[in-house]
Amino acid sequence: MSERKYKFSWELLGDIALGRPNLGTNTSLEVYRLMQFTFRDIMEQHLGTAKTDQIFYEAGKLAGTEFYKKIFVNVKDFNEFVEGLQKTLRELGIGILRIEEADMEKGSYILTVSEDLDCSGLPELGYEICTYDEGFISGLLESFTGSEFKVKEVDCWCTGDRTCRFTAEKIN
Amino acid sequence: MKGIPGSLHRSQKMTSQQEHDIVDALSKFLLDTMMFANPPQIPERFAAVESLQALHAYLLTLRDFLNAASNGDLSRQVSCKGYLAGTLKTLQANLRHITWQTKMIAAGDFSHRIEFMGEFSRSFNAMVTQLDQTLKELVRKETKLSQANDELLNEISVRKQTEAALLDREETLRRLAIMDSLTGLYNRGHFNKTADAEISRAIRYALPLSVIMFDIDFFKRINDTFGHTAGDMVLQMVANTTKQMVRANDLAARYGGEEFVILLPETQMKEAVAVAERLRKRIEDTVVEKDETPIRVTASFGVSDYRGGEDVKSREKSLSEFVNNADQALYVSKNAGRNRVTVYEQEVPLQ
Repeated sequence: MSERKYKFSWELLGDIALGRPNLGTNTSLEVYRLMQFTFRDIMEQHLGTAKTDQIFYEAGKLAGTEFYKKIFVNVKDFNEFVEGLQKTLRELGIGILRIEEADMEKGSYILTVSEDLDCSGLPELGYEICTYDEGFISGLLESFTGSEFKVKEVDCWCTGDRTCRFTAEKIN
Repeated sequence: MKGIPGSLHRSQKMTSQQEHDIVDALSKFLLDTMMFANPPQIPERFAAVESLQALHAYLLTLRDFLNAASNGDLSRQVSCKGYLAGTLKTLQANLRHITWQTKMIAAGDFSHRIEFMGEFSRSFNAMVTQLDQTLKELVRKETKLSQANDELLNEISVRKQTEAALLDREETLRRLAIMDSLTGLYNRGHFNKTADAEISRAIRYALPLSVIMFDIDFFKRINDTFGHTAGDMVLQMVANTTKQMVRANDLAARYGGEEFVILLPETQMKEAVAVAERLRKRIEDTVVEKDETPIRVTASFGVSDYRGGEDVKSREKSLSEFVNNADQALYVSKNAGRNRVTVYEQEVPLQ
């Protein structure tokens, strides 16, 4: 692609406070999910399920990478990283992050997100839905460690679980 | 439900009693599965019912998970889905997160707090807060103790320095009290004190003891001709020469003005005369340079040995006599033309 129209930048999100003096900076979660699930629907029709999932993963990864750049400055260790991330995700209403296991040497992590923005309260679908979260977490971990990660959701509200559980493994 | 093997067929209508018996059998089987340590197999008559197989497998999975968790093993995977399994997974996630948080706290990060386990969370958080405060208090006390220790060490160091300075000053004062500042030889007072002790030792152990007295010839003329600085230089030359010539246990002192005395313990008169003669010759041969002007001096010597008695009275007067005898011999040398050594002979001083 020679010329990009939609290359991401935080400026693209605009000055929300200025633009919404009456409605404010927040909207309903229903609207957020409406947009996400309609995207899925149309993308799947045009591109197929696998490609749709891939796009959501990569979009999540880009978000995680940009989020890290915006939020974190000179993080000195994993604890500080987790603490900052937990606080930010909670404040922004994205979810409640918890670490179950963290092996820094092996680059192996198990973490959970409760009250997840994307899936909490969804009907049981029999498959994990938080592909965007997978990418988001991989973008954060890659930005923090400098290594590439494969993140997989193993438990999800949509599979009847009350919290989303992700495994993250360093792949290089 | 695909079918129940046994005596019933689909086409046959079950009686209420038969339905009751089947439900009763199934309920008993499911209760046993949950109640007993060794769960029963699916009864043969229901073995082909797929939903019952799924339910049975589900219950076994939950049993295994709960059993492992009750024994502290939180790593067991719950493969089944659904509300009950999900609830247990949430509990597992909470406990695993607490485990991780506890590890972090053990590593010294006291910022962790639990917020999802009710009263346990409150108690745990109170414990962490207390632990954090206690450790901080310990660190504060340790720091305070360390500071007090540093201050004490500093105080000890200052005291030691002060003590060393006092000792140094005391030594300086002691030396000043017994030394002649111009020549670096002992002074008259110290000579008298030491000579007394040496006389006592000579009496006690029947040891020989000699004394040499000498005086720089025409010293006033040196002062008048070359100045007092030159006079001081001559005195220092004579003192340095004397120091070089005497033994470690000899006592050389400036007796007054240009007059010097040397006490020679365990030395016979004959040996003392030899020392006096060598010293006289060395002084005669040494030239003092003052503003490129050579100054030569000589000295006159008197030598005597100790001849006191053993009674206290004679010891009291022995020191003055001992020195006076050498002094008399010195004056004989002066009268005889200077730059010579005279030995004191009892009753009759000889040249």
